[in-house]
Amino acid sequence: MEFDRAKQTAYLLAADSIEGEDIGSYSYEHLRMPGAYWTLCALASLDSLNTERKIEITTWVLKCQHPNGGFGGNLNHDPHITNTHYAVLVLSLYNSLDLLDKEKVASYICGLQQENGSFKGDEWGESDLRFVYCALSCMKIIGKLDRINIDKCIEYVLACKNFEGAFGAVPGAESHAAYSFCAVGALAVIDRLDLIDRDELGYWLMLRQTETGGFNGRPEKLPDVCYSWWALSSMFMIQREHWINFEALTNFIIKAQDLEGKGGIADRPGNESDVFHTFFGIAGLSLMKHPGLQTVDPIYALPIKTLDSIFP
Amino acid sequence: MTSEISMAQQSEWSDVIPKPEYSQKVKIGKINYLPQFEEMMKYFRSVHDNKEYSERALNLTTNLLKACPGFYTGWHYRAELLDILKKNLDEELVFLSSLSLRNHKNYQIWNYRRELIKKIGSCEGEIDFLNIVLDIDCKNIHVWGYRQWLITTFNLWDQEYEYVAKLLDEDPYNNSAWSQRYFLESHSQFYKTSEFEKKNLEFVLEHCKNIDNECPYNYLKVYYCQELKERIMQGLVDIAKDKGFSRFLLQNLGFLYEKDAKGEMCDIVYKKLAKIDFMRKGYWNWKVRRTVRKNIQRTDNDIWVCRALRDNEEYYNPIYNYYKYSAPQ
Repeated sequence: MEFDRAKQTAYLLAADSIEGEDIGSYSYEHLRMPGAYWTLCALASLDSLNTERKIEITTWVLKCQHPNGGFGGNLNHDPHITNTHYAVLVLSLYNSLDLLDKEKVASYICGLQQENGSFKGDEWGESDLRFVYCALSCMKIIGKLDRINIDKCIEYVLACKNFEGAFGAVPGAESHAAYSFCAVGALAVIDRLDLIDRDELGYWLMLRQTETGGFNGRPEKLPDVCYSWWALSSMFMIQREHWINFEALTNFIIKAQDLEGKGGIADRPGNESDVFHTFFGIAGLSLMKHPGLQTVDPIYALPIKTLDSIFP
Repeated sequence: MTSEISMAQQSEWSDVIPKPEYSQKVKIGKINYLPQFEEMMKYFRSVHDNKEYSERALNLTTNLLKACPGFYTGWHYRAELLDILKKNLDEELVFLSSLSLRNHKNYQIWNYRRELIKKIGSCEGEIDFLNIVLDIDCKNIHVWGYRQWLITTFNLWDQEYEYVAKLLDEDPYNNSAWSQRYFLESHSQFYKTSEFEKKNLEFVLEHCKNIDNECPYNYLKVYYCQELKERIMQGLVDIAKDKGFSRFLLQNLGFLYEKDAKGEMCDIVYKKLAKIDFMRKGYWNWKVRRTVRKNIQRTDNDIWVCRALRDNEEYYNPIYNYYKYSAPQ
């Protein structure tokens, strides 16, 4: 079994017209911004970004922005830091950051930083490590990182570290590979990976690789393709990627493809595919330099070629 | 969905012009919606944009959120509606709990609950409800996060010890329960006192007898200190004599030897790990290369470990990935 480039490209291009009859299909109304990012970034990695839709898509993205500078998950959906981050990523993919009023975005994000250094998701107050990563990555991309209280950010990130050397969603929460990615990514953006013990964290992340070759997110849980990104990119960021068994991980992702049906990649072999896992599987393969894929940068989760134009 | 009559035909809504989704013109990430949901969303856009705070708007959010609990804008609007219409918050909690049981893996539901409880000002019944949800999914990260907030805010520490002990009894492989145990341990007034630590270490070592359980072996790290190193080493050797070596047990032996700068022992342990932990073979071989093989004063335990790991009469169980020393002790 191989990675079927053609089939996966076709799956992603057809993501617009999924015939959803089951009860879950319409629950993605508010997830259109993340969905756009997962689809377009995966296509970009496959060198198949649909450039003819650039104006259509960037126009829609900008229409999702609120007067306060934040972006919603779809038109007229309330602003949220995660959707703001996704919006900036989508505009980056289309090399359209110049369309953005960067000052407005910066002031929205700054306004969400709390006294303890963490960031709220929106005015309603939900807060965890994801939003620190979103904030820092976003501000770095739009060139406004100096507007944030970095020292306080660092304090909060380190407060989420547990005895295993890995990170949870908030101080005291269970260590988790996805939140560890958020912590490592946040520190990588500000070039402060010296603050964590990379051997310690690398060791815990390395243990996430199960006998199937796939990663789990926590001990004694099942492997899931999305951790192929979160755990793997973290290992690259802390320069311990050589501790991972690439061959076994590659096989796991490849076997999770739906090649009999519509295409795409599932959370694990045998399950139904979706755009979310398709993106993470492709991103993981790209990190391992799978042939035919543009490498997705482990820190910013954008193709390296895209980053070259943002940070010349 | 909820009503068989379309909203366009309901007199209650006759004064509202439903707003179609602009994004339908944009073909990216587009999903074909069920007609009823699409219709409700059209009416939602109208009333939400017009900042209408009415009973019918509240009912609309009820139906939408039942269908799509991740619809965070709907939750925000609903919170405002409850406030302005001065609705009974205890009844809202009942509605939320019923929705949560069917959608417990959803971020917004737990965040909304936190805000609701803050307004209600009491946590009565909350722990019991969380126990029900954890019965369904004992590793739900949102529930555990909410639970930790509840315990911290309302000072519910005492009863939690018993609950965590019960969970670990039922399923010692539940890493969330182990994580909660550490949460309690580290917030205890006895934290870092030697009696407290010794007692807790014994509990962990007892669980290490399940040599294929990653959780207690990770947890040992909490006790790696000068005073307890010897006890951990003895505990691990006793388990190895009884049950054999798993990769988790060997990893911990390796760390303890490293702390004691016993390079020769590290070499033996890491070489064995390179053989039995094939997924991490590269890492263990790298560790072997980096180890300085110093001749050391071997303890009786060290001598036994050497013999056990080198002996030709070995039994390797590939199912559990452990290595059993079968020669006489």
